[in-house]
Amino acid sequence: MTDNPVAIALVLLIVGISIAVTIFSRRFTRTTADFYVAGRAISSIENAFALSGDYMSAATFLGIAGLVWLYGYDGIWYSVGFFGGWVLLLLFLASPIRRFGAYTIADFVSGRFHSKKLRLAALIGTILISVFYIVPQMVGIGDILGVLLGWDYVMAVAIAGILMTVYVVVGGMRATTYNQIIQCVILWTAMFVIIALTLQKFGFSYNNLLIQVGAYENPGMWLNFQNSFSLILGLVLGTAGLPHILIRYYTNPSGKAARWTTVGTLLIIGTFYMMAPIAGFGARIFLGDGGGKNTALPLLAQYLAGDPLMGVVIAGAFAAILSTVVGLIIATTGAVAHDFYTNLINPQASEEKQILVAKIAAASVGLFSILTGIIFKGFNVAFLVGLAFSIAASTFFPVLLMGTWWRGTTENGALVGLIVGMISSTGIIATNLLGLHELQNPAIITVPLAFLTIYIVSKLDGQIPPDTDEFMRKVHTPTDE
Amino acid sequence: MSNKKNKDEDTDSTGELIATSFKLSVSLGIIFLAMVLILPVLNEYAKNLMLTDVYGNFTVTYLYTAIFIFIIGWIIPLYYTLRTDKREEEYNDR
Repeated sequence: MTDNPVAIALVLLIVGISIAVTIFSRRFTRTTADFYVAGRAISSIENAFALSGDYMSAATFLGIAGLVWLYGYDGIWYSVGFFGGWVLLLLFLASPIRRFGAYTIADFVSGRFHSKKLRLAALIGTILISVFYIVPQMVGIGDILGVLLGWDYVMAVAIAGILMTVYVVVGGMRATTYNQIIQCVILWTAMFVIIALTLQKFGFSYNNLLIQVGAYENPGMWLNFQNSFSLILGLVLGTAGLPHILIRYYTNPSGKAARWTTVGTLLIIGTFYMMAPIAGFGARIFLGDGGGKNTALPLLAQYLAGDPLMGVVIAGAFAAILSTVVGLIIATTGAVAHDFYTNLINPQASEEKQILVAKIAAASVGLFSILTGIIFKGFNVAFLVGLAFSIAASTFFPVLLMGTWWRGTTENGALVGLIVGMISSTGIIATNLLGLHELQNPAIITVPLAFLTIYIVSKLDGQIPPDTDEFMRKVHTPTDE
Repeated sequence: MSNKKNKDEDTDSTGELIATSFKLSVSLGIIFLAMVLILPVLNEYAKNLMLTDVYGNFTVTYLYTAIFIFIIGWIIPLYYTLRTDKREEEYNDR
């Protein structure tokens, strides 16, 4: 496994392409709008591919197939949950967020409620969610390049981290977008080739595959009713509250384009999530118990077509992690440089200074990512992704949904709801890890709690911002589209 | 006077657009969420039905979870997007 020239060549090819794209994109990154939102000039089709690349992390690419290999049907809950959130995102948030036309999620809540406290709470939420998301990705990249290719773990994390940081710092959102498009195509194609070769072994019959897989087709091998229900709720609502996904909507030219972007994204990721279980079942049938939660897919590829296909899978996983982490770096950079520095510390900062601070922040976030990846080596980090989704579902989703659609939402209602959602979701997950109860995913409790808190506090408070109607008009009407 | 009347009409049509958008989003959102969240409920309380073979070895629950829900997740967004595009065009034409 340590001597796979195809994998090494493909990983190096991705690195080379990323650098070339970054150099090409550099000329388009002159203003803060260029850096954060690519001048709001990314078309729906480009954005659909970029968002898909942004969203499909190692958890999607390797994780679902691995979970289906291990638990059969129950692993498919992740496919459904990861996919379903996009439908809600489209129905309730895609157009309004784009029409508000800012750079970050904190901009949006601050614009709705004119509150520095809420901006601060939103930027803390963005950083918290992004960090919980970045750590497992960095550990994943160390494992993939380290374990599968035999690279030194620290060196693998450092090289990947430096590459990602350079292309955010130099090329901003434009380079990030083009790289995510390329990486999306790579990982979708890798999955397609694997399932085509898997189904070929069964005469291209899905039914024959299910006959071979037997009881793994049935639910109940892993999650009980309570946990499966709460998991789906958390994944669906969490997706619609992830900052690195939401900020990509600002890169669309209009609210209408934002809607078509989501439709395109649903087509790309939906076909991917329909393919992933086939790969998981293929791994179960051909590898038996010799698969692995994160290695079932590369090992299946090796079984089907030897080291070359395994190399394609490793390159796909590398691309998946790369595209997700850069999205997270951009989101965190926006929170640190734009929300904290420009809006809270130095509102008079010049355009040049804002870009400089953004680049310094991006480099710092990149360095932080490398360090956390090294520190958490070998750590069981799967729960961190769940934590990120749970916090997003219990914080940003209720605040954004109610702030966008209910004019009675007040600053205090949103602030208390955000804080209650953040504390309750992290608290329940922490106590679960300490073995105090069996609820793995807190969404079933914390999401209704956050909604209820926003509603009750807003009703008691009654201080609706005076320009709420104007805000509602701005985010809900198709002016200039 | 005429300006005030125009402003009132504008406010009315905006309010109407928001109310219609909300109604459509909520209806479709509830339908989709119900179709997703009903799955673990049926798996728990209607096991025999969900494990019935409907096509070869495809059980009701597998067909629904691994294929049908994604198709629903394409149809609802497409319907919503086309409806919203049309409504917004009408709004802009006023």
